[in-house]
Amino acid sequence: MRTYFQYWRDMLRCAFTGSNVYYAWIALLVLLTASGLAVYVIQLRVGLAVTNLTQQVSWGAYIANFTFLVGVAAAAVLLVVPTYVYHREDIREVVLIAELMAATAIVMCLLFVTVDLGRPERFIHFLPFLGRLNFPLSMLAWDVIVLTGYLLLNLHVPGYLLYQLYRGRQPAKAAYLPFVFLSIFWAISIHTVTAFLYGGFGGRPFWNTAIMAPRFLVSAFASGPAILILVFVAIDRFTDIEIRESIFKFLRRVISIALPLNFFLLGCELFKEFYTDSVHTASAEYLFFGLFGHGLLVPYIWSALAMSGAAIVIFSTERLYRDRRWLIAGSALCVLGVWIEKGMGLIIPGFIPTPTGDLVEYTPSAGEFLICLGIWAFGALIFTAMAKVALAIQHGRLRAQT
Amino acid sequence: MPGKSISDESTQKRPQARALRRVEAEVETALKTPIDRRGFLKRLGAAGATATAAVATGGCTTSWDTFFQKHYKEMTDEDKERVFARIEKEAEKRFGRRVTVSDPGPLDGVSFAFCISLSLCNGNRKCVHACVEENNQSRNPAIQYIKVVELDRGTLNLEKGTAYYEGDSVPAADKVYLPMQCNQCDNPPCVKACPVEATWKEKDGIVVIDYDWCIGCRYCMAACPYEARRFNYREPQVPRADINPNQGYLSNRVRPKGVVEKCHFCLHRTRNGH
Amino acid sequence: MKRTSIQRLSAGQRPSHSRPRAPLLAVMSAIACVACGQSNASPPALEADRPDGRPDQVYVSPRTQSLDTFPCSECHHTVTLQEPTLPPREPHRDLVFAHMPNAGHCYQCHNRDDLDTLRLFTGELVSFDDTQTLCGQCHPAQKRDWDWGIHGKQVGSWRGLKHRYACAACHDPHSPKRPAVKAYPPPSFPHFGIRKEAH
Repeated sequence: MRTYFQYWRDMLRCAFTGSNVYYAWIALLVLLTASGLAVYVIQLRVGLAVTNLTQQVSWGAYIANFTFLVGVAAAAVLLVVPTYVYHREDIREVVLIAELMAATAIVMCLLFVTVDLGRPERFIHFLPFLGRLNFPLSMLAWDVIVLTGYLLLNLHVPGYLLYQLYRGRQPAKAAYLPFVFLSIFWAISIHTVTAFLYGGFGGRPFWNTAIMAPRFLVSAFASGPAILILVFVAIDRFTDIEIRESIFKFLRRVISIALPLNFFLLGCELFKEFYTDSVHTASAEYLFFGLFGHGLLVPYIWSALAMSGAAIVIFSTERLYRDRRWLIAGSALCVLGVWIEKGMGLIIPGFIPTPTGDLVEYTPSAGEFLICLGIWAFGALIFTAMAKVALAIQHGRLRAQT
Repeated sequence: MPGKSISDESTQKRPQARALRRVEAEVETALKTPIDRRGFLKRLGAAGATATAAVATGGCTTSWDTFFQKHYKEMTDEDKERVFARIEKEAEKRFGRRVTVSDPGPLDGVSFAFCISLSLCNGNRKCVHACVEENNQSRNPAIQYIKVVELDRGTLNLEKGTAYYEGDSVPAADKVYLPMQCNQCDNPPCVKACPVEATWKEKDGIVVIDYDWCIGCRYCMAACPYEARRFNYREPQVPRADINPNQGYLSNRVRPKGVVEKCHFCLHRTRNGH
Repeated sequence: MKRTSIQRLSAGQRPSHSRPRAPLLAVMSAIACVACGQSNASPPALEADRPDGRPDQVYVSPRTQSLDTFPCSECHHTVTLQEPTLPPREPHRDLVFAHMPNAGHCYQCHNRDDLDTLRLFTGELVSFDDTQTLCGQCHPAQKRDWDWGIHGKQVGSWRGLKHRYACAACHDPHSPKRPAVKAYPPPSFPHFGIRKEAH
């Protein structure tokens, strides 16, 4: 027991000491988190009127970010499978980072949902005994269960392995391997359930499509690895730990398949919309061309497609992706492109036009922007801390005092 | 590639660390207490958290009672009496009006339906405002359960309709008017969607909401194919003189902020025979 | 019961929950209304479906209570005009006739021999409180709907006493077309709303 307390003490000390660059980074993240929190306090007092949400567009930036981040969390499976199923030892070195990223992403998802709630103190209505969870009918109830389960899985596996490493012990396979395999299937389920959140509504024809879940998964498998590439580049650059080129190669390969596949599925969706040309095409028309001369999202979706296209070019051209700077650019373009297409470009058009034909646009308010930034900063903060600790333990820098 | 190390204690000896210690010394002198760096951060964090909590709860309307209030379907009669008494007291405090909160149950052998003659509707919106007056809806921001859409005669294409017609002289030539509100669906997508069962379909067909159970996630609003549900983005503003004091727990009592509401078929009237 | 703004709509109507001032007349009208079945189809089996088996009670506002110029015989002691012509003189000068433009014959509906009654095409006489029988001669579809409570204004209880308004309460019998009205203002246009009409 005492060792466990020492473990936490050592971890916290490791997380909050470092170089000046590290301090500056942490300070920046703390500042952004604090500003987000300050605005959230205002939102708690005034209500969600601090956002630009309306009766017509009732979900906005918070849920858009939530949707994108569920995909990022699911993408950890792309490193878990090669490590534990195909025994790729090079990827095993970084798989814990991916799992910790998944846990961070889930924490951010839960935070985004919390700030979106009108009565967050009533979260106890989700819990057994105190609440009434509408399982199995409500997709949101499913989402609560699968996200919590996935978070616990991705805290247990790295937590257990790192603690055993810290103690200098050999981890017992029975204590983590079943959970690893469970998390592989669970990762697919979290993004499928999140897709089903949208796909099951007949009243929202923009979302009511069978390929919603495949589209979500494919774009997650493009954006998740791209974020991982950026993380590994940062680790490579700012620490003395080297990330093998084979890991980058693997991630690049995944992106070079997933991104074109994402385009293909999007193309299928657009064919259905614009060839059929029914009344239900109005949302897609708003997104890509605007309606009645108004289209706030039009420049964003086209630039998202351009960014994804540019990323495909970069990840397919050896001369480009071998260069670290092009790799960073390509990954950033991939993340941004998918974020726009699956975040704002998916949630907002579902409400425009409304079922009664009302047309109300949406753009995040300053308050929403700051809260979103705060949650992203908080996620970066806890991920930085966890990744630093994990790498320190993995490389023998943190060990229990015997 | 060589870089700075993660947790190397030798950073203490670097010139930047010395500068940091000098700054700490200045702050120490200013505050006139010795600083323990980790403790300082911890105390700052704690102070921040306390301040946040204080400011946040200052605007909070949740008490112990309301936090643990049960779902409507699980309330005993004593629970209901207590809850209704609390609501009546809050209404008196907030609006200075005596109100009664009732809870008429569904009648046996009754299943409600309603009809609108689209040939006759001339779009005068009086129903909209009568509903607002009866049901204590927020005036600012304005919440209206009924939405009247003006369509070109010969089409039901809502994409070409508008709810914002001025109506200087209705009915306008070649227009039809379609009032829309909650249709109390038989297989309601909103009931399926709600993660906490805050909305459900009663025996007599009315789809109701327990406003004290709703968590305000607005998933039901995304689900509704008729755009029938409204969200309280702020504390609802209802002028004191316009409060309808005959209120129902599941119907027209003044809602709190952060919850969803919709047409509830005036169950405080219809279940009493009106 | 709080008055709602509905009750300020039409002139001459009575608040939904007040008691009728002429009970006998009301009861007679009610029975007459329920028993009268001039349409071919019978109303839906409301009575049969009612759990307590009681027929719906319908109270129809008597027109005679709200007409300023009734009874006509107070001014018109003798009828001298054989063929009345339009436009009429005071106090009926504000009467606009825009009904059955090809007819234009007042005595098609009014009874020359007793101006306090109305006459049907068959020669039968009806009271001013039973205008629906008269109107139903040419407008059987609307009469059928009115019998079922789905044409015109009917308030009250869905399972008890209903308060229905006579045809003439909403339709001026001499120019029955409902006039255009000014609607309540639209909901406030959202800040980020898109206008569909071309400016």
